[in-house]
Amino acid sequence: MMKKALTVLAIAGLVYLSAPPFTEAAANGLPYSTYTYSSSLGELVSTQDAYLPLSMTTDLAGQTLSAPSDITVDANDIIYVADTGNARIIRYDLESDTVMSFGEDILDQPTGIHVDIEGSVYVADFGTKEAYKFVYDEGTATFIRTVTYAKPVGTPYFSETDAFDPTNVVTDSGLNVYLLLAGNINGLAEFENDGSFFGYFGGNRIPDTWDNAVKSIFFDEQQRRDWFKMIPDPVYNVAVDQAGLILTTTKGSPGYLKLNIANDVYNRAIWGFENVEDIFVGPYDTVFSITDDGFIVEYDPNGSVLFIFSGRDTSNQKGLFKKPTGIAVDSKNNIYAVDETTNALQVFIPTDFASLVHEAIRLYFDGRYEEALGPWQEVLRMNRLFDLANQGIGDAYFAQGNYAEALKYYKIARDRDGYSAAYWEVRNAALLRSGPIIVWTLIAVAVLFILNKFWPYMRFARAGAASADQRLRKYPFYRQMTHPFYLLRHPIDGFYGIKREKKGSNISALIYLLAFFATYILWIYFTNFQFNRNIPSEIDFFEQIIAVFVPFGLWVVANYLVCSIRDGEGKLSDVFQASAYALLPMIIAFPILTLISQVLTQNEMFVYDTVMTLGVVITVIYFVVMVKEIHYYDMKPTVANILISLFTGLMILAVSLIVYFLLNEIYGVIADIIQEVISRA
Amino acid sequence: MLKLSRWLIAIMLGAEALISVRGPVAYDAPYSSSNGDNFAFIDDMLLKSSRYTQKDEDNPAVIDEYHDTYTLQYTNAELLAMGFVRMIDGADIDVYFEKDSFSVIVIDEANGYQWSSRPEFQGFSGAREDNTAARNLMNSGIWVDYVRREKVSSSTITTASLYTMANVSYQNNGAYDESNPDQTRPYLLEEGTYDSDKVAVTIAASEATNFTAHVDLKMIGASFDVALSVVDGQFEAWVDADTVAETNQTYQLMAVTLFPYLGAAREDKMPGYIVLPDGIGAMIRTNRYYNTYFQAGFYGSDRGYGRKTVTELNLPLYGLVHQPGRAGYLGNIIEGAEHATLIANLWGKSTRYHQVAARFNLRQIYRKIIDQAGNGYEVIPDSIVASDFRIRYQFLHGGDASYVGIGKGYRDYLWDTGVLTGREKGHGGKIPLGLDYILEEQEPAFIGTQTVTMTTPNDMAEAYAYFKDQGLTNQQMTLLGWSKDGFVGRAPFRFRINHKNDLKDFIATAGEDGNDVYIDNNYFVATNLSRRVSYREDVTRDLSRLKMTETVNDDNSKIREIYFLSPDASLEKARDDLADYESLGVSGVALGSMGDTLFSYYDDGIRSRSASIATYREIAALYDGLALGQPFSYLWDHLDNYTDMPITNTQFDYYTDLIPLVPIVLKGAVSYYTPYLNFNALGIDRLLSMIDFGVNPSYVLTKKPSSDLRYTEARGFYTTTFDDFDEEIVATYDYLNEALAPVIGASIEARTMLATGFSKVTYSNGVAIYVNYSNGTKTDGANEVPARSYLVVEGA
Repeated sequence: MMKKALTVLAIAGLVYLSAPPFTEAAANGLPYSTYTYSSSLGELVSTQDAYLPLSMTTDLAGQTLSAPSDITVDANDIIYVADTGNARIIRYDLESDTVMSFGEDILDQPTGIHVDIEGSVYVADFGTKEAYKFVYDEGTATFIRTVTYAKPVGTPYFSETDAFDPTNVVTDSGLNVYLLLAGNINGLAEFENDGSFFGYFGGNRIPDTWDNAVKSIFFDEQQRRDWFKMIPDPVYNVAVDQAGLILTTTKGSPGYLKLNIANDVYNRAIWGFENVEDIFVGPYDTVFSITDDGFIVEYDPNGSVLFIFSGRDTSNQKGLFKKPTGIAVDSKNNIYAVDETTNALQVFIPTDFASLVHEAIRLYFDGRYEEALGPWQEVLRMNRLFDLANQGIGDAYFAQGNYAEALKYYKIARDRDGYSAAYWEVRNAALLRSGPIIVWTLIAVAVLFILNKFWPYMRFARAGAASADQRLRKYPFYRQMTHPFYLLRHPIDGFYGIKREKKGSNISALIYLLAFFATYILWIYFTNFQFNRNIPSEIDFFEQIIAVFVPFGLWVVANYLVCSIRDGEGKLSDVFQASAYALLPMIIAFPILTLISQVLTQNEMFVYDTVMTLGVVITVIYFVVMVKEIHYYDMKPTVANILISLFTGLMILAVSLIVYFLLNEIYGVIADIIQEVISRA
Repeated sequence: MLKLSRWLIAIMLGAEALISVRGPVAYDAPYSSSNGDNFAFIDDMLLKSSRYTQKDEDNPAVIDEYHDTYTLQYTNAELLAMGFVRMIDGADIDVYFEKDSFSVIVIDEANGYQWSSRPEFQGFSGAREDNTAARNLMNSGIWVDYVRREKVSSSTITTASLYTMANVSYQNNGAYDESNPDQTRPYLLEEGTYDSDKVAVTIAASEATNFTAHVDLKMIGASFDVALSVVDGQFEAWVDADTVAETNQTYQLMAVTLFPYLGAAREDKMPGYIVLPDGIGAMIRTNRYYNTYFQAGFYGSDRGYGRKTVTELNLPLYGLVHQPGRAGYLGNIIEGAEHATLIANLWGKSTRYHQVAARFNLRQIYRKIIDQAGNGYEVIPDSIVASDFRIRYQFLHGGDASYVGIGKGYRDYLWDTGVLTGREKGHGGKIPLGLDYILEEQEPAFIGTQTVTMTTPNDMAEAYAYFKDQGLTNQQMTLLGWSKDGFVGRAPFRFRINHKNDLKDFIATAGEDGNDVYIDNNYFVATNLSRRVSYREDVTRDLSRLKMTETVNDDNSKIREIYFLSPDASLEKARDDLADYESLGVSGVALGSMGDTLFSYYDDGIRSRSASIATYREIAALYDGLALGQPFSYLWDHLDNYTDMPITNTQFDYYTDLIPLVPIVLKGAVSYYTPYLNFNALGIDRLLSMIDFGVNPSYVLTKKPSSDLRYTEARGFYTTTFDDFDEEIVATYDYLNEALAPVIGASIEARTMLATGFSKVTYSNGVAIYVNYSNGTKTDGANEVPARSYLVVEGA
């Protein structure tokens, strides 16, 4: 995801500058374009510019920075910079353009800086391997060190040889101190404010992937660590939000994690870059992150992306970065960032559009949905593709009890939870409205049912169907087409019929295969978005053709080839027909799934899942039975042959690809020769 | 919603003169947020940033030092001692010339100001400034870049001056202090060190107002003539390409720079600035240490050579001002700008001067590609470009010695040569409103694509009538996505139209009201989605003989190929469409990317940018009406509407000011429009800058909601819905029209920053417009301008 997005942005910038036909429509005279991530489209979309580069300063009231590595802003909007190269802290008041420095006699390589809710300054020093608390002393008008946070001794958490390399520090609302230790996989070292250590917090965990699960079964922890490097990634940077919750970022993981006090993931970035360098939480609990190549992302408190902007600087343009190391935000949402290469402090200020979004966010996350309606509508007017606005408007209408209207906006935003909740209400109302009709219908059905017991009028219908069936049975095509239904009820006999009694035909099998494809397409297109990750216009018809027919074809061919050398009896046509007929459960299941998805909410997800599982399981069973009966195997060779067939299918694919690449190479060589002849001529 | 509260104060001044003062119609910002107010000091910082023009230096200490010490005052005796000869004695300027170093000193008769092509006041620091190599470069007025014929690479290009080749040495270390009060000391050569076997300059012909110097660079076996003359009181230098001769088998000429240090400003001693035609206009004040340089080709970078830079210089000029209101000059490149690079070196570790000049590139390096992987080696063309280089220096004094004067100087040149004429769209005494309509676009469908209709001709007619009702009677409309092909990425469009008769009717209706309808097309830059482009025949080749294409990932990570069409293919397609456009009855054509696309290409030999310009000019001449986006100045004689006026410049960190250079040149001649205000994130600030610069509004509209475009290539147009914008457009238009209608057809005569964020623009018809960007009320005499507002004063 990250790499993809990176190139996207880098190139988009280029497009903006060179102005070919895919140019951004937006223009506010900035060196970058601004994007937001649309969770409904699953992609980046352009948006109004949110921040304006204000200034790029290397001279802070006469002081120059040297390789600054972190920046923060206190409650009075005073800027603090960890001026690493000069081994000091710079306290800069932008308003009066005055500067004060401290810590020169204590610090060696200050890399992290933080100001707590009481205004005390904390510094993590990579050089001295300690962190310090500084308190402002009115008498001397200087900052004085009051507490030192050093490597704990005599605790099982740290052995003599363990590294203790603090790179950043934050405090929570209880003034507990969290030290970020470089390369430490256990998480943040948590200290009480007085400097006593009491444990780890917020370490990453091994991801729950299936191969990790398999490894966990077969190997013990030491082996997993030594052989597979199965150790959690160390936390890379840390921040604290307005409520005192800790946020962590990790190189190689997208965005950030927000942790609750129980050390669980409270929420996370819905989308993000994997090379986040620094992170900061702004006044409205929106989260600002900056990557090591200069992209700034602002998130709402739930982790949805608001804005993505800025980027890498190649020609000393204001508003872009060479190697940013720190980001911080003041009470008016002005962004401050420092760059290690240029030693510059850059300031970005919110545009009117960003302020409008912030206003909406503030009201929305205060739970004042209805007040937020106005600002959200304005945001939507300015950008029809701003998902969060649709969601916010949906929530506002929901809060007003206007569920039908809410449903409309949730649907555009593809907000599953919101849609589900609103639809439940709408459906409920509809059910209540149509209550009498339902009751009368049920009564009518019951009456007809009872009536049938005394006077079985249904036999006429059944007899009619039976005689029609009788007449149609004359035609072999009809018999072939209805055979799969027989097969559904009597699989063993049915498959035998295909093999020995020629009850199937290739043409009817092809029709079944096409029917499977048709219902499958129906399913991916029309299933309600609550149960469907596909976006209709994104579906590539030809991709789907390949996705369905290539595996099926490979299976048929591979299975035939494998079984014909392993004493199987089936012919190619038998395998083809039987495999196609065995898809019938899914042909039935897909339309049902598509239909019920329209009337279900997330609460009834299990109904959808059950039908789906049922269809898949029956199909798999029929395939197994099919192989067994067509080739006349026992159970054990059946399983073996299925596995070998699957493997063979993969091999056929692999070999085809190799041949394709080889041909391509040959083509390339010939083309090179021609080109060289032309250019040397 | 809209409260129209006009107020008009008339004050009788003396007997006749009527001064009317007009404030804006009340403007309800389309949106405002309660938390949008930033800190006052942040607002102040913004106004002091390079996004705005700043107040000129007014520190008396700096000004006095400049006047007393850093104003050039050579006596005739001193000039003579340094070898200068008065070659031209003109009515406006005198030209003194020293041939060995090819130096000039030009004296502006109007105020006696002396301009030197050498960096003056060397040694004034008292510190050593005696690096011979550096002095040799600085002290001669011609630099050449040359390269060895074999194994060409960009790192082997050598820059040498006449003195460098002549290998001169100096009598002294150039220090200037109380013990050495002779200001000519830095330039005195040691007797006999000028090696005339290596280089020789001879005066070939000399007349009253012109003379020709023959420059023979014997060391590298190259020679050429430079003709220097005074034309209309301006100093002209001309390198005739026909006179360039290369006799040596070892070296080849790459570039010539004339007078690189003309008027160079020393350290922070001159309270002036350098003017660059970057974007809307940029300025670098010569009052601080930058330690950096600026370099960019005129008319954008040349794709033919594989170059891509961010800066686009739209006008072939640059300027230098020593002190606003006192002395400055405009360098106007009237021939060969398409082969020239603008270079400015700013005071830093390697130089104590701020210097700006144009380098004329006779050849440029490109890569010869020998395999599919793109491996190859660097080469240069065999022959030099077939283009002369001609630059005119106009020396400015008094009130014209400023960026406004620089813009006016160029404007006057364009009027005199007939490029510009008064053709602003001032229909009905109202400013024009640019309205673009997206008619159709294509979105991916189950198989292939399907049409998304955004606006029908009847919808357009309705919108047109609505705006007309609201008093917007000067609409300049452009049809986008009018072809069945779709819109974004699908140009050049085929002439296949839905509702053709409706469209014709609409165009006719608008035409009856005197309103123009333009049709959009792009014959220059296509993509792999274009249905009317043959990759083999239409897509041009760069000098490496590779197809000139570019692969981009759009914001949806879909890979797209961008194709650059050969100028001949562009011309052919443009001609093919002429009859169709005529049948539709459109007033003109909007060729978005013709104006800022310019490249050399390969077509059975190297075709230079001059050839492309000739073809593009041929295309421009096909039409009665032509709208271009940010067009380079060589197309301006055919221009009817200038769209997408840059909002800013490249905003390099060393830029100090933004200046309305392009508007100063264009105002009174051609109407220019801002990029779509739909996407304005800056609120009223953007509108104020439009009033400040005389920029007309423009919007893009669709009848259907913009969200219908979400699956199409046009998803970047995320807010275009008519229902969202109908009221805003009227309100914004009225706000702007109130200010700008009085100056339709008038040109900008002066612009001053009265205070930070408070400007006053004076027009040729006597109207003055004050714009106050700041959050406090500003006054100028009796004129009071409320915060973030404007004031129009007529008859002042």
